[in-house]
Amino acid sequence: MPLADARGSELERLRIIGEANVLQKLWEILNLDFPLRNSLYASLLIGAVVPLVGVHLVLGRRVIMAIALPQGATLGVALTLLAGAMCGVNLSDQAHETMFFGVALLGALLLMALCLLWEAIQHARFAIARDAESAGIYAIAAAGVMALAASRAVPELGMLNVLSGEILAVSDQNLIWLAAGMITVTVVLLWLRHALIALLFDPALMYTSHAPAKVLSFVNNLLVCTTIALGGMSAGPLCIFGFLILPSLVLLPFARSMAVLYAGASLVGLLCAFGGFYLSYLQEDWNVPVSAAQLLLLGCAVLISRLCATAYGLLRDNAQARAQTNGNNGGAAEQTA
Amino acid sequence: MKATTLLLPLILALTMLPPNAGASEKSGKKLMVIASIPDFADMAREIGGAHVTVESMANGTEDVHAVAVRPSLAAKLARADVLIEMGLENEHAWLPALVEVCSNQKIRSGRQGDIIASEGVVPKDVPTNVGRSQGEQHPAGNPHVNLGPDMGRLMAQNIAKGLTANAPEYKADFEANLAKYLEKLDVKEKEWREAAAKLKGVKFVSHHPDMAYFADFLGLEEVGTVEPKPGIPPSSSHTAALIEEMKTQGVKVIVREPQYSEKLANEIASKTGAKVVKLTVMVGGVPEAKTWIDMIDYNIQAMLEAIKG
Amino acid sequence: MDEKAVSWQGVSFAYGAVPVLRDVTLEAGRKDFLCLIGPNGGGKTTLLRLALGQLRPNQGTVRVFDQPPEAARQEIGYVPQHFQYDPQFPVRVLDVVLMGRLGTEQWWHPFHRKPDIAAAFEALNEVRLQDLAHRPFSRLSGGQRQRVLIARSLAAQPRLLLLDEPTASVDAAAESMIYELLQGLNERICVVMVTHDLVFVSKFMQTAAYVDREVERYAVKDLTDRMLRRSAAQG
Repeated sequence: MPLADARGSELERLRIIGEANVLQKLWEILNLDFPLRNSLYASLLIGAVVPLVGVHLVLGRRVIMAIALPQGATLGVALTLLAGAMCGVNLSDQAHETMFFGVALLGALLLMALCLLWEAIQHARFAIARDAESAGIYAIAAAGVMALAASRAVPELGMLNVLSGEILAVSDQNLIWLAAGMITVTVVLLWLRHALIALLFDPALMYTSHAPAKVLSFVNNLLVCTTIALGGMSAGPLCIFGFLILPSLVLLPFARSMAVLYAGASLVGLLCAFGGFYLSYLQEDWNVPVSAAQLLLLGCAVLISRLCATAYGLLRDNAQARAQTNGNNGGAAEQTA
Repeated sequence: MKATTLLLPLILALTMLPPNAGASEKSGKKLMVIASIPDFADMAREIGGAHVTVESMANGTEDVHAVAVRPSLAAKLARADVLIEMGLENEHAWLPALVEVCSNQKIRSGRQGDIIASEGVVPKDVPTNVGRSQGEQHPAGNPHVNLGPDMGRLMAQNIAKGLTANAPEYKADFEANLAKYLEKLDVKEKEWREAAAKLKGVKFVSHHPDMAYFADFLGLEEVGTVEPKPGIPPSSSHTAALIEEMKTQGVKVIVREPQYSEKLANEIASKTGAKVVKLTVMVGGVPEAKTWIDMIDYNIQAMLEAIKG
Repeated sequence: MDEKAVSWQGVSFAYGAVPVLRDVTLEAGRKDFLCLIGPNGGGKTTLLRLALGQLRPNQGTVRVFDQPPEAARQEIGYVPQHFQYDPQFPVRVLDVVLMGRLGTEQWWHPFHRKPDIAAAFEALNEVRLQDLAHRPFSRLSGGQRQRVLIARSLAAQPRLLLLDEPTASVDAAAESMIYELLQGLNERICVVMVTHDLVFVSKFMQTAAYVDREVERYAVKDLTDRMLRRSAAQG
């Protein structure tokens, strides 16, 4: 066989092997016996639901809280572990897994509520910019976690890895809590969406209307905090932050209605969650963590969205310019005639 | 006139006294010993006895490769007469910078005050392919010598030699203490070898490749690690492959070190039917491991428990 | 006896230590068109906020259709002075108008009911924007957006309409359309409007209330040059 043909057939062989590997890996993931199926299901839940809540954060211009709240949640969980240790209960013990999830969720929600309350009071009393307060909360909470970790007061240093969230290590209990929480968040958010959207669009209107604006504001914050707490304990603060913000950024240049924004953000989140998991699983040499692969894919989606929006804007401007030129030429032609 | 007549001889007498004359002649000046990990601090106390003041920089539950650098550690090193470290670049990520910053010439690398506890060991797992793509490697070999039950003797002897070099006036006491310690080790090593018989051939995985010396002594067989490469976080493809490998090879033990997540170990265990056993990599990593001998005892007992039933 | 749409009786109010209103007595009937004029900081917006129930008077009482303002919120439509509009918000005109229906009892309903949609379209008809119902709110002109906000306030079918400088940021053509609209609405509902537009006041109103910490109702022809200058200079 001529050399060029031999090389060509080798490349073809590698291509076929590569394709087979790609398909085989996809099949492995979709198989019900896949050993990391909990991790996949958790990723899909997070990918589909977290962006819905993220829409509210982005439109409500509370993005900085999406950075501060996960740290607050982390501190809440760390304090939960400390409280357990002080009561003589080692929550790191697997026998306490159910208790841990429930108590840690409460701890995280409590700390986040305190962060929100602090921010609201400071803003109301001293007119300090909310983003500055939120950034301050982030720094203090992060330092608190570091101090607790270094103090050895929290049992089992490895347990603090729970706070960084390892999407690979999603137990059945973890998945149940996550699914229950995410489904509840979705139902409440979609049920009350009209009132919540109005609250975001024009808070002044809501506070002068008959609708219970304070209750709705509380519900909005609770949805955000619950999502961050549950998602953070499964996938980590960075992953949750990415899924809160990036899908909305992909859709905002194009969405003409809230329905499109909700559905689109959720779909983008879901696809990138699956795609990122698959890419992470496909790569055997690079060892990209699942969360990183998912967020990088979301980043690519944002870039493509921006390019498309720019192109669309250019196309529209060109069309308008052409229409204007044709109008002028027509006028000139009339004059000449 | 009267006051100066009384005071002057007193002042002269005090200035002529030899230094530390207040202390008894027997105790003399204590050596300030700083150990990188609690294991060496324990051995230094056993061997040094009353002639040393010992502190450890790591607390036992941390990742030995990533001990948090704090100003207090630099202050300790500045006062040290002797530094005991593992060698084999075990502490390379944090200790050299601290030694540099504390400006204590006595304990700089290669000086008399720098004791390498693993000196003379034949290192395991010396890599043939060195590069960043292989993760956080140790080019000189696996540095977790302190986990080898048969390594206690070598480490104690190195520490004794180092203490003697720095305080030769206490040589006799150091040698006597070392001899006592080695006797204790002889008795324990015999027990551990008996336990090793039951553990021979047992397959296990660990999170990080730190059990080489421990496994070698006990005849355990390490099938893989949760980390795809040292210091690289677990990936989905590697974890799935590890689970399959464990099922294929019938691996029933997953070793979890205290600084790593229990969650992933438990999840792998649930998929493979294996048991998670927590072993400590340093003295103080678990409450039971108060001394180096206790640590080895604990680790071996934990493995024996894991293979029961 | 003519039921009063809104009345302020002996009302005094201060923001902290800063007094804004002192012993104000003023009322508007069910079909009245009440213009509030006066210098900035005189208390005009404060009067509206008291009527909305956003603020409570330090002294005196405020009643809306003979009820406390909080109890009568469903009767009130409100168009604020400053509407902080976020252009990235993907809402359509109809969505904005439907927000006005959230003050009704079924705010929690997940779907817009037929009566809500009908009321929203009716409100859009009143402001002559029914053809733009599905257009993105961001694509409207300033005048159109202001009319949508008026439609929003009408969607709840109020009996009292409070407007705070509704023509502050619109052009002359839109301004005249809005005034025409308000006069039409006044045939069935009470309108209370804060304005600095004295051309409108002098052209279309018989009386106006001059608000400068205290309130006096004047026939427009009796407004002094001084009052007019003060009112116009700070508008």
